[in-house]
Amino acid sequence: MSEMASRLLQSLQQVRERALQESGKSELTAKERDRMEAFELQKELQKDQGNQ
Amino acid sequence: MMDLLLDVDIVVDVCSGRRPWSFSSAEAICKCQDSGQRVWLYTGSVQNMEFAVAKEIYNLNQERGFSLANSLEAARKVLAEFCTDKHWLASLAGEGPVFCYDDPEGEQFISALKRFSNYSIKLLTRDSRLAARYPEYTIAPEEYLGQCGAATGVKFVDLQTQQDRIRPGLERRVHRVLHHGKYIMGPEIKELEEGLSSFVGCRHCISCSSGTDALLMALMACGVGPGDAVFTSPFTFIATAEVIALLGATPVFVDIDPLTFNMDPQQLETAIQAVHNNDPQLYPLPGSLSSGSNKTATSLNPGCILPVDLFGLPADYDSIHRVADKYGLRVVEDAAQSLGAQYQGRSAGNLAHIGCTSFFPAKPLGAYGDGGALFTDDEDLAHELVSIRVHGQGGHKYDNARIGINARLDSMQAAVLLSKLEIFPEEIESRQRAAGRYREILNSVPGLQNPFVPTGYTSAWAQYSLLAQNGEQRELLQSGLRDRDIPSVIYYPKPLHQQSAFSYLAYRPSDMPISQDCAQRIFSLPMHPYLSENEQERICSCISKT
Repeated sequence: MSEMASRLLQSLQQVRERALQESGKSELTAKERDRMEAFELQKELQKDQGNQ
Repeated sequence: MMDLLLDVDIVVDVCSGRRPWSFSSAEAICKCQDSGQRVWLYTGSVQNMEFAVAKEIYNLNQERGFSLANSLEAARKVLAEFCTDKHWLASLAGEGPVFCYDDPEGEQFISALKRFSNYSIKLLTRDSRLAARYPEYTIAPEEYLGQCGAATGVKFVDLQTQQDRIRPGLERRVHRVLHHGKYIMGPEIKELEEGLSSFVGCRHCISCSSGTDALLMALMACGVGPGDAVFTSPFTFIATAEVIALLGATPVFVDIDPLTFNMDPQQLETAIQAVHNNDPQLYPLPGSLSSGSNKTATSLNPGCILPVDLFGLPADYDSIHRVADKYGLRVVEDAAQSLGAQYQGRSAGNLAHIGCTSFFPAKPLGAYGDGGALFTDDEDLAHELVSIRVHGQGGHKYDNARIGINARLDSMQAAVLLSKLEIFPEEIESRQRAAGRYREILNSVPGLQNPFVPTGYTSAWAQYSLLAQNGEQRELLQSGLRDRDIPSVIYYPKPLHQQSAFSYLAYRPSDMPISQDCAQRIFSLPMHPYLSENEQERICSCISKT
């Protein structure tokens, strides 16, 4: 892997890790929960279509 | 080489860090950017991006006790970081009705890609179904890495990088016009005219449909007509002299200063005296005319002076105004190339009774079509110009006080110009830096004359033009640049006094010897605010070696 790509992944990993550690978000909002459920449903549907 | 639009799965690879896919996805993105191409994200996919990345982060970190809420927060932060150097591709109305398809999001991507020409962009995706359906529009990271090529050539003028910089504001303004529907003289026109007035430091700005129409309107407002001599430079684009002829007046060419390429004020005075005295021995005048309705030189009256700020450098206005005042003539500044330049502390466009500029796309401040503007501090002239712009309109729409033309700038172009005006001062600074770098390197190349900027002047650097020793050397240099995929252009290969259109003026080539000589030797290098040091080093190295 090139130095550039490695740097990109590393910097994103740092942001991700810090955000996870510092996250004060205790739960999803109702809207986020609805969307996440819809998103999961969409993924399930895509999987089904892929298996057909 | 091509731009890349990122499918959501690629964004998930890189932002969640899932292995092994993150490696090749990150590699493809970096190689695309490193080769000077653009990586795009589709605004229509924002929600899918955040939930997909959140879900993946959650799956990968579930054992560590992080909740879905923690993961969503982290996903948003990672995406914000990831987006900083990417370009946003707006979702358009036509990309909405995709519900009849099995894969609406995939169809949206493909529809968005179809806006670009010649497959200059592909969707970077791991979706094999979408790839099988649209092989010409899609590419997998591994396939893209196999195709990576070298960097593309230098651009003569780079409007793409500029557009990338202003895209969000530009799209907002253009859409605003689409929604308010006032396509002619909409609110953008007033806003632009106020912005330009303030930028130039002039009381009145009148926008119009092109730089050529600006010149035409200025001469109309000055009352130029048949029998009038308008003194101008022969070393410029034809529009400057064309408008004189269109009004039935006669262009009287005044040769240029060999260092600045602008009208020579000393020769201007001699030319005015020659017209006054009907004496072509004093200065070359339009010859005896054999056809057309134009009067001969012997019956011309000095009408107006029309200097050009060539390549962005203002002409010598103190000297020109001294001559103009002595003979009671008005001066109209052709600032088509010089908006953003300075002359003794004043802005180009505001250096004469009327200043005219052009918003042709390649100009320092360019629209996405034709456009122009006039500047004046004179209340009466401003009033007249506003009337001339709309068919000589008087007190109301169907009252015509004078003969005018239809020369309004449209709201859409004004919207574009407003977006560009916001960054224009910075762009002028960048042009100064680029010109400084050229000068620093090319000054040491023997036989080349760099642009001359007198004390108290700054140029807008519409062009960076060099004089070669002779035509053969110029050809050699241009050919060397061409071989390395570096464009160069000759402005202007034929002076106006030698154009067929003006053959009726019967000028001889030797009448304007400096212009004639410059036309044989001049050439311009790439010049724009986004020219990198590396690109300039490539260009200069090629010139030095040749």
